[in-house]
Amino acid sequence: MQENKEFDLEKLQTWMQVVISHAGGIEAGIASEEAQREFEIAPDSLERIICRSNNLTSTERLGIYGNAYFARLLECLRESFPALAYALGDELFDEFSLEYLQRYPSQSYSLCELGGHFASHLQETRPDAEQRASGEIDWPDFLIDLATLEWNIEQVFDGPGTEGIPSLAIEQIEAVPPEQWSQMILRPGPSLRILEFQFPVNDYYTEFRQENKPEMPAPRPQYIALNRREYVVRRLEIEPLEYRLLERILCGNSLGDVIQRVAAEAEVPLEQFAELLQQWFQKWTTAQFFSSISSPQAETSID
Amino acid sequence: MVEPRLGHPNLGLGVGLRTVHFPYILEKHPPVDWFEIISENFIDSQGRPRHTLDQIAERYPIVMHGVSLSIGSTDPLDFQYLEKLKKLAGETDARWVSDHLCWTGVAGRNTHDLLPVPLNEDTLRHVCSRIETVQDYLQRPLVLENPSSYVTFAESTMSEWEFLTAMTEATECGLLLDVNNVYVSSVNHDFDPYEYLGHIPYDRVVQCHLAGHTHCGTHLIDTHDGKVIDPVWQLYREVHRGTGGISTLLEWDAQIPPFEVVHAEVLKAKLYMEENLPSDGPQTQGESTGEAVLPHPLHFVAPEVQ
Ligand SMILES: [Fe+2]
Repeated sequence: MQENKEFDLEKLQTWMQVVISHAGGIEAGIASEEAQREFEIAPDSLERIICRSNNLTSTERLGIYGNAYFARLLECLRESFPALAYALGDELFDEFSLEYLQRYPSQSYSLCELGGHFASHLQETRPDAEQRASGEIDWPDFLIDLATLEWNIEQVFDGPGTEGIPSLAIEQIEAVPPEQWSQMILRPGPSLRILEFQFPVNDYYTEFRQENKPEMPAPRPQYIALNRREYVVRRLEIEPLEYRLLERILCGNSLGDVIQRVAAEAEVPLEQFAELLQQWFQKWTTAQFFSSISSPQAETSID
Repeated sequence: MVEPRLGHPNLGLGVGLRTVHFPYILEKHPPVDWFEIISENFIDSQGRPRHTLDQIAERYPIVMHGVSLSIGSTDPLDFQYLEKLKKLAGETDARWVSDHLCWTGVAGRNTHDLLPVPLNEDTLRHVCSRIETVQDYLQRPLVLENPSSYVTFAESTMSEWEFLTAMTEATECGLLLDVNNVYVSSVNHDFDPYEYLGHIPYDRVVQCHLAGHTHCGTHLIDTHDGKVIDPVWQLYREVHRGTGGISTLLEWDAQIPPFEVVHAEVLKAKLYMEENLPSDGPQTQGESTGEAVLPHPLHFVAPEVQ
């Protein structure tokens, strides 16, 4: 570094980060355009930046950081997506992850964010843009669904919850005067999430966790509600119609609105729909999906 | 004249809090003196980890130890992160807040590694001015740890102990002396660990760390995956003598055994507070088994799901 009379820490850090996070290894990293922009050096003159030790060359020493970089982050992704890692097998999972880490390097102080773009990365890089139209391969959708499920489980586990706060009881819904019913708004608990899948990945996930070594399932739509009770994530399969209702409820629409629109779309006779609704309210309150029910006009909250 | 340990108490022998031990600690309330938490595992938690921490903080002193401050980076300091540290420190009554003399990333990225800085006057000025900003923001002295490192820089003009001494004198920050890291770096960089300890300003040392590492033949890697080896205990004896007694914490982050085993390991420190030799014979260092050898830090909290 004799050519640099002025010591430049930013330059050194930029260079070192490029080199140790280069997917092709330290030497390829040193030779890369990005690194050469900072320090125009050949790999064999690395000692101008990094000293050697009695036992190791400069390259070997810097290589310790290079090896650790991907190994650490891969390990973290494997722990975030255990079922996906199982579905893909170690080798493919590592390959996908390596690509992912290059496209979406961590920008957060927390490792918890690391997998945040994994599902969208799989979507963006799906290999089957053409075949997809002709329905030839469907495994990318399976992988995307599985990554989405696992990511959401992790978010619900450590995100906001209502532990210690009573959730909405069915009696509170039943106590709403009939004339107010249609204006009422159901407020979901902060952990409630609903997910729509093309594959039954929730069943697959259960089988995986029970160590039943599941095979990739045939496609079938599956709808899942996630929420957290007593700090444990609960997964509940819901009907397509329930999903549509919850989708609108989560948007903050009034119950009158929600029911009218979903009933019309679903082409279910109204009496049958009313009966289903009753069952679902029961199911939802038992599963502690909601925290309150209130009417915006009357400013009365029945919670 | 500086007060010993910057005026902080000697908390005794503590253990790094890890999620696998949560159920045991909550049920048994083991007689451990204090816990150190990895700050990043809790500052955003709104679930089980944070709930458990709150329960533990009711019974035990807590110290916060971070891995993402990146005090040596040329990127701007992350004040959102600092705000969260400050909030959690208040809520858990953290006795002090520590991180490492290192940088973790640049250009907005985080490598999640503790990367060493070149040790020279320029970096010293840079690091000191950032320490002062952080201390002003947190309204308390920062405590910084000597990291294990695997490279040294041609641009370094001073030893690590010279850098640490100048840093703490200029900023009045505290030092977290990781005894295992001194040993690991001494092997990796061919220096004498006793010479290093001989130059440490012990009145600035607030805490020390103990841990296990892995021998890779030509170098050591700070894996935190096993018992403390005898040469590190011998260095600890020196640190104990130099400080006159110091909050001591064992870090165990990979292949974590049951809590009793981790606790028993840190209790061995008592043997080195006098001139006793350990009764169970010296521990030799773990050899690399050829499996992935990952330096600390690596932290992940697995979700509980039904
Ligand atoms: Fe440490």
